[in-house]
Formats: sequence, structure tokens, C-alpha cells
Amino acid sequence: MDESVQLSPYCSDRQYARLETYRRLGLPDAAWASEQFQVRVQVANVAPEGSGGRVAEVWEAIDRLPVQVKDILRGLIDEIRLDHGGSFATGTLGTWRQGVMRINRDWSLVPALKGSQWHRDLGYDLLRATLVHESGHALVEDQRGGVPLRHVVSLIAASGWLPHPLRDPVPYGPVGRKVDTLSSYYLQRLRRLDPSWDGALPLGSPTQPSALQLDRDVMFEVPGATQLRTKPRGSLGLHGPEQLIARLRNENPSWLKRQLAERGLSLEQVDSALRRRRAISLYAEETISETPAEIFRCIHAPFARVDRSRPALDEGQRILIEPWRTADRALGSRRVALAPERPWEALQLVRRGPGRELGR
Amino acid sequence: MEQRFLLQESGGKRRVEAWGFPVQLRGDPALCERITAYLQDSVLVLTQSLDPESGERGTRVVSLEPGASGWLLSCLRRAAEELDLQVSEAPLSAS
Repeated sequence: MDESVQLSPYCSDRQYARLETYRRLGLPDAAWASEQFQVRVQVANVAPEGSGGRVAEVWEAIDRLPVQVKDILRGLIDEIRLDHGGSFATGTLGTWRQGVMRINRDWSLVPALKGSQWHRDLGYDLLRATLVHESGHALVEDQRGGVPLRHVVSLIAASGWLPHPLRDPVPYGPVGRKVDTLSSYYLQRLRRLDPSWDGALPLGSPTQPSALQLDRDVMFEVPGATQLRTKPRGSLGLHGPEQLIARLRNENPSWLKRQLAERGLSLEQVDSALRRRRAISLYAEETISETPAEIFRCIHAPFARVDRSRPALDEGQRILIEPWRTADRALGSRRVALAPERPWEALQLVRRGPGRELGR
Repeated sequence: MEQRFLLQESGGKRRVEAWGFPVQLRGDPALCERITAYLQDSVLVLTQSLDPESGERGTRVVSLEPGASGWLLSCLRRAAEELDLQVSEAPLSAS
């Protein structure tokens, strides 16, 4: 059976009630988040002045997320925490790790935003971008997301990650023309490096090395923080396309041409391979493991006029969106729930008010 | 050798090459003028954070000042989005 028609594990069969419905019933926003997304909600309670509004904005941004992202929050996130700026690395808007999403509720401490009169829409856009990107990490790196490693490698190949042509010329030949042959080649090399990499299992599977180790095993250079948590053991040495072009531009052109010719390649061939597929943003070129989450974010960017024909986005649609869409179609159209789904007694309390519960 | 970028209309009629700092533009004069407007200020970009202790991943926002690494490409991508252009690296053989 084609994998794309299997029921996706991150699709929810329940309707969502709107935040507005809870507010109309006088219920707290945190109750909405907790009940609608089946998550533990923690809101840091000692807040700097003015940060209460920020918390409301977070819930509003979640309320406006696309249904797929809401399904990921419901299915893959166990806890949402709205924490203070001091508990985050400088400039961090939000984080994800193993089922926990933390959102910085105090952006006044973010240096890039400090002092600038940024428009409320920018705050909303950044918040949405953070929520979608971190949900993308959850989808790909949580075992419950169900995206197998071989699909993750396809997203990497479709985003233009390539080795230096003098180090490994193979992807510049026929192997590199199609995403599927290139990703099979990368996966094969990855398994040679460590046979415990299993293309059929998600990155979050307990028998798989970690997502950070994937960076170390596949990328040319990984950030120091990644090195601290991973083992050195050789690498495929892939570069983001923009970085690789910049690196090749720094080489002596006649030396480079000679070296390429010894490997049966020309500068034009290399140039055309580098142009075939491009990264979708600078963020996607930061590290390999950021690429799938960033593809997920770009697919959900509502108004960005990014080049929709890019192979990375096509591959993202196929791998990250289509299984969910198929599952969603199987469930039938989902309408907004008109009231919170709560235990009957609790609902009576809400409707009649304290002291009149259960008709007494 | 510095990075060089090409911006062109989807029909490929008008094109502009951009490189360096202060930014040099070469190509269609009208398009150069419109692109110049995007090359004045710092830009906000999203990037990653990773806590080395816990492995917690995050989204960070940073401001790229004019001339910083990645600033030119970010500005050109914004110009390309808003002016409906395509941005790409100039061919390696053009350096």
C-alpha cells in the first residue's frame, strides 16, 4: 500500500471549540488550552508589568493556527509552558523538547525587539512562526509524529544539501538529478557510518541515534552546542547550497577547475547541481535538523510569496502535509465545536452559575 | 571572493546583479532604484537556538545590521518577495 494514504498519527478526530466560546462562558484561557489540546498548561505566575496581555496573545495565536498544527499540538505536545524571558537563551521566542513547548511570554527582553516600535502584527507573525516551526520539530522528531527517517533525508536532499564536489563528486552526477536517488544515496552512506540509522523508523524512535547526531553525521560543520551532545565518527560532510557556493567562490578558480576535471566534473556541472535545489531560508541552512521544521513553517506561511515551485516545498507537501490531508479527508469535514466538551456537571456549573448547580 | 546575487523578473526580461558592502548594483536602472529601497535598514531574521545542557531546541529572532553576514541575502529575498522577482546566486564562473 502507498504510504501516503496511511492514516496519519497526528490527525485528531475531535472538533475544536474556539477560544472565543470559552471567553464568552467566562472560562479562563488556560482552561481552553488544556481542554482543547489535552495538554498540561503552566503559566509562570510572577510576571513583569504588562506581560498579561502577552499571555492572551499566545492563546489567540494558537487559536488561529491551521488545523494541522492544532492537531500536532493535540497529538504530540504534552505540556505548554508560558515562561519568563530569563529562563530562555537570549533572543529565544519559544522552544520544543520531547513533548514540551515553552513560549517566552516576555518579548520586551528580546534584544532584537527591544526598544523598537514593532507593530502588533509582527509580534503575531513571529509567534505563529515559532509555534509552527516548533510543531514541525515535534512532527519530525517525536516518535508519535511517524515521519520515517528516509523521508527526512528526502527533505534534506530536496533542500539542496550537497557535499563539497572534491570530497564526494557522486551527487553531481546522475545520482543527484532526482531527489529520490540522491536521498537513497545519502541514506546508504549514513547507514555505512552507523548501521543503527533505520530509514523506516522516525527520528524519535528509541533505537535510532538522536536528531542532533544526525546533524553531526551528515553536516560538514555543526554548532558547538551540537558537538557537546554528539559523538564524532565521520560525516557525509553536507553543506547548505548558499554556504557551498560561497565556499567554492573562495577557491582559486583555475585550481578548482583542474581538481574538478580530475574527478570528471566541470564548473558548469557543479554550478547547475547547486542551482537545481535551493534552501528555502537562511534558517533552513543553519543545521540539517532545522530543515524539515523550516519547510513545515514555510508551507504554513500564509502570505509569504516564496517560490512555491521549490523542490523542498514540493517534497514537504508530499511528506509532511499529504498524509495528514488524507487522514483528514477520511474523517470527513470538521466543523467548529459549538461548546467546550466538558463533563456534564462542569457544564451545568458554567451555565447556571455557582449555587444553582444541578438544579438544586 | 564575495557573494554575488542575481535578481530577475519571472519573464527574465530585466535583471540586476548585487554584491558587496556598501552594496553594488548593476543592471536595469529602474529595478536597481526599487531594490535600493530594501537595502537601507537592519532586518529581523529567525534562527535556531539549542540548549547544550537539555537539548531543548528553539526559535530565536535576531537583528542583522547592514553589512552583517546574511544581511544582503535577507534584504534581497524581501525585495524579491515584494517586487515579484527571483533571487539566486550568480554563476560560479562569473566570479
